[in-house]
Amino acid sequence: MALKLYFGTGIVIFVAALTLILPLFVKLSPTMSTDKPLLPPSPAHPLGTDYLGRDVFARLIYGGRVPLGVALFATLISSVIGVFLGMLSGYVGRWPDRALTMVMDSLYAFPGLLMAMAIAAVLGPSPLNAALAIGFVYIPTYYRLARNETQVVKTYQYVEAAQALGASTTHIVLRHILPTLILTIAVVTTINLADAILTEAALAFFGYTVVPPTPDWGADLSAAKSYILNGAWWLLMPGLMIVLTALGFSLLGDGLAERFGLRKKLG
Amino acid sequence: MSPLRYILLRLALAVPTMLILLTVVFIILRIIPGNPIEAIVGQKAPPEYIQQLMEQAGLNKPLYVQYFDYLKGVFTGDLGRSFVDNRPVIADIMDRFPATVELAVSSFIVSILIGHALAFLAAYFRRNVDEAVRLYAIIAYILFIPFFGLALQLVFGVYLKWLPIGGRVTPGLEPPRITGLYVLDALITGDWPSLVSALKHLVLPSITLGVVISGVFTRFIRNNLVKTLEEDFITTYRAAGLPRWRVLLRAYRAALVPTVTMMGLQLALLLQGAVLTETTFSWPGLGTLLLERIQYLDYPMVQGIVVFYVLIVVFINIAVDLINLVVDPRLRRGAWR
Repeated sequence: MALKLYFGTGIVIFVAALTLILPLFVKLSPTMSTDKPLLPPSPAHPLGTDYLGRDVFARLIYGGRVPLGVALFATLISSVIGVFLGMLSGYVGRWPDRALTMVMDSLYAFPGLLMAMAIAAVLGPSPLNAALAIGFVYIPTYYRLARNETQVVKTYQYVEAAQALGASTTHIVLRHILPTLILTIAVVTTINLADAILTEAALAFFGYTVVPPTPDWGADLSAAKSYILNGAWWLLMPGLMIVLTALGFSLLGDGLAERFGLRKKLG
Repeated sequence: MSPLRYILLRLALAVPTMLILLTVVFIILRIIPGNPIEAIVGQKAPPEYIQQLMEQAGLNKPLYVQYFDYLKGVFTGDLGRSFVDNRPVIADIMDRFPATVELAVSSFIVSILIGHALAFLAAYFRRNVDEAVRLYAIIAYILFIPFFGLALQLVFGVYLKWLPIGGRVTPGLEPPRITGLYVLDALITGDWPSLVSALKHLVLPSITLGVVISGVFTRFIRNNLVKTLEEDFITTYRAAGLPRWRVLLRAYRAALVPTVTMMGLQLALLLQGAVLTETTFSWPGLGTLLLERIQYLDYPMVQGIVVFYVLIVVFINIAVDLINLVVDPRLRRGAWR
């Protein structure tokens, strides 16, 4: 169904435009406080104001930078490390492969968010630390993928030919195996971005990504929690952005997987 | 392989998994920052205080000694004492654990009900219903729990005033503690006001977490059903004139084994979702305990809770395999592998 691909692309472009391009043209301050807290939406404040009288719309368009940045950097870390380890493990085989696979399977069974919380709590709140924490917990996802693919590809004749010519392990893995994986990795990374966005939002909700007053969707939603009793529905908008962004990446990834016939492989 | 050997093998396989996870937790909490106490308490704390805390937690010993002390503690059930109230860590964990179990179990039931209902609808009607169910599965999975939970609170708690938006029970109505599961305790003691209150408090959190988990269940059960429906024995049933819904039930029986395994794999999702749900609904479970104690810089407690999660994961994974022994006749007869 190509619809997924179109909707996914559309949502991702919309979110990117809202958070990365719009702030260049709209002069709004996400941290400047008016003296009117908890105002409902009005022409002056299209999404109302928060408990400190800050413009919610301004915080919404600036609050996506940290989540998107952290999610992108985290998936970069986990894909590079996970794919590299997976290819090496799948290619070398024998006991190093069995040992590493056991480690990765164990990590995979453990709730990633809890692991990320432990790491983030030890490292302290900052976007970089959050990215490291999230990057760590998704390594097994890429490891499994790269390892399984490598086990198949290494039996192909062109790999055997390279071996016969005396090519080194590094050469074979990087020049002959990696290129066959790139497409699958790109698709999985897109799907994984949705998870990374949600994990970043969770860490932000717990206060592990930014220090106030920096805007961040998850952190702003956490601050909204106390004002729900007042019926301040507009404070839930950052949560809607989190869901929308995750949906965008999820649909895009799913759409790409179907487009390139990877559905079966990815489950 | 006989069932007994299968069980023993499964137990033996759990040991390395547990050791690996315990080691990773140790590495994260002890080695990364150099001095965990300083990292948690902050550099401004007086050095004597840091020294005292380090001795109390045994952090001034060499790392390998710490590692074996830590493993010994885990296997003897001694997780140390809390910095905050000096109670044994395990006592505080046991106080909070039933709340998490209650939430997790009720959410799990919600997700199984939704997952099965939608998957059967999709497999029965196919076409547009199927497409709608698949869309539901995608959206349910990416619903950010605090957002969904707060939205439900706003509608059902604030606007309609039907349900409470936080806590486990109306203060003062706590049932006497037997199992720690309020619903069960209230039932046992026949304490009806407590039971009603506990159930009312449970509705929104379980729906929040249940719906999010149901995304994966729906997708998986639907895929398995649809795949099984293409098999030869199903064609035989159809040719024999079995009604469509009975064919579906037989297909479900065959799809049950991968379904149970998959449900076990979603445990991680359930546990981390529970942490978010607990925070959103001020639910006094393990997740909120972990977050509180991270703020109070209660290092032994933080480590203890993470270790406890490791134990839960390992034991549930064993349990899932044993359940498979019951639902998969091939395993029971020892004819498998």
